[in-house]
Amino acid sequence: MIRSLQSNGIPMKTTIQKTLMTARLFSGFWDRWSVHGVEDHVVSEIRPQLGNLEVWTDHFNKSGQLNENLAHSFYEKHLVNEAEYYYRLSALYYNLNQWIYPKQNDDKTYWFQKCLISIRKADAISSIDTRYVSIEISNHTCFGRVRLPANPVGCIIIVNPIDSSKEELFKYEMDFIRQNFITISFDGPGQGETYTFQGLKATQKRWMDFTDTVIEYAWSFFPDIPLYLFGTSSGASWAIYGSCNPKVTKAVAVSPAIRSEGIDLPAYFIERMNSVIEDKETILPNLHQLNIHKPIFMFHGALDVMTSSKTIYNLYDRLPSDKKFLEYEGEGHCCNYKLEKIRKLSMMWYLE
Amino acid sequence: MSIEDFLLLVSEIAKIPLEVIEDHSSLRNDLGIDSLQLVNLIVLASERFGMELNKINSLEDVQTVGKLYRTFSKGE
Repeated sequence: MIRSLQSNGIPMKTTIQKTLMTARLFSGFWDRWSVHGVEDHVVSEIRPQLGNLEVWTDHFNKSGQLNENLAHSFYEKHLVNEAEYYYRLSALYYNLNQWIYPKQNDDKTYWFQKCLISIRKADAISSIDTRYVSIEISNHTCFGRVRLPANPVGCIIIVNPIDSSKEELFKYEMDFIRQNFITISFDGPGQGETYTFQGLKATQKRWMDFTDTVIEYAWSFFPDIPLYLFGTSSGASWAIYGSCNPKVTKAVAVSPAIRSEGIDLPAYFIERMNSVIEDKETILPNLHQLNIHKPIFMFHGALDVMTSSKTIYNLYDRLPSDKKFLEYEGEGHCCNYKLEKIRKLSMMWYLE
Repeated sequence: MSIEDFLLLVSEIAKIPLEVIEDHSSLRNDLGIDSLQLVNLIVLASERFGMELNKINSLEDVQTVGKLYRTFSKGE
């Protein structure tokens, strides 16, 4: 049993135990993973048994291996698109295994490396060119990937939410590339490769530098191509921040994370964040201080329990006139089950 | 952990007066505890009273105030 002690001697449940309990009991926990590709049957066959860490890692390792084998057999049959997808899916299962560890450690590193190996196998056989790139923030390396379709119509910077790595959002990349958008996706401070391999934690200042630097990076390589931002949750808040940069043409913000009075975040999530945030400070931009003047398309789920509708409406009211808003009645934070449609609508809007 | 201590905790999390909380009260429907609050209630109860999270196996165990208390108290 994983157990630690508080200073007063009362047993304190670890973050992993709290995460496992939430995963076992609450189907909503899985929404994000489900829409990012995790198969329902893979979750349902393990959920009731998620009592300890080994059950989790064994199960998702098996799912990762199974999909890797599947990818390999598709590739041998020259079904390259299918092979590419299943390599990315296997990476997602290894990603689940690195994700369960809230803090940097050897196990997290091991699973992240497995995730990256699968992703790179997918990239290697893809018809779309992929470049592995990096930028420097606070004397640390932030790792990124750029995907380059032929004859691009624009360039989308995917601003990943703080608890996700760039590899998790592979479906976003695929959708955008299919419509001939270049995609740029980095792990920022406190995220993915940047946190796991460099140990760089998140602060508000580092995220400001990170967002500014990624935009400059994109513009320096693609100065003649319109630059768009797409973000969900904390990534949406930073997409709004990034829209103030003159080099950005438009931004999409899905469920921007804004601290709302009286709203409690789940215990396991707060602890996970405390592991990757320096000194427990906020890592969200202060949107009230920004001079927002670029077109923004904002999406909101009416059932969002992390950011209240009132807070979202107030933010939307403050945006300049060239803006758009879409609210989904049956959706919660991140509008998970409408994300595919949101990506389609966003691409149409970018090109208007 | 006494039932009184447990009811106090539910009252604190749900931000509702102690006197309206009964054994058969549904955490979700009667007390308006959403899933995020329920996660936090379970975690806080387990930490404050030194109880195992693994005792709760399904949402059936957390339907009502009384069921959740008895699930945690099992074998204590």
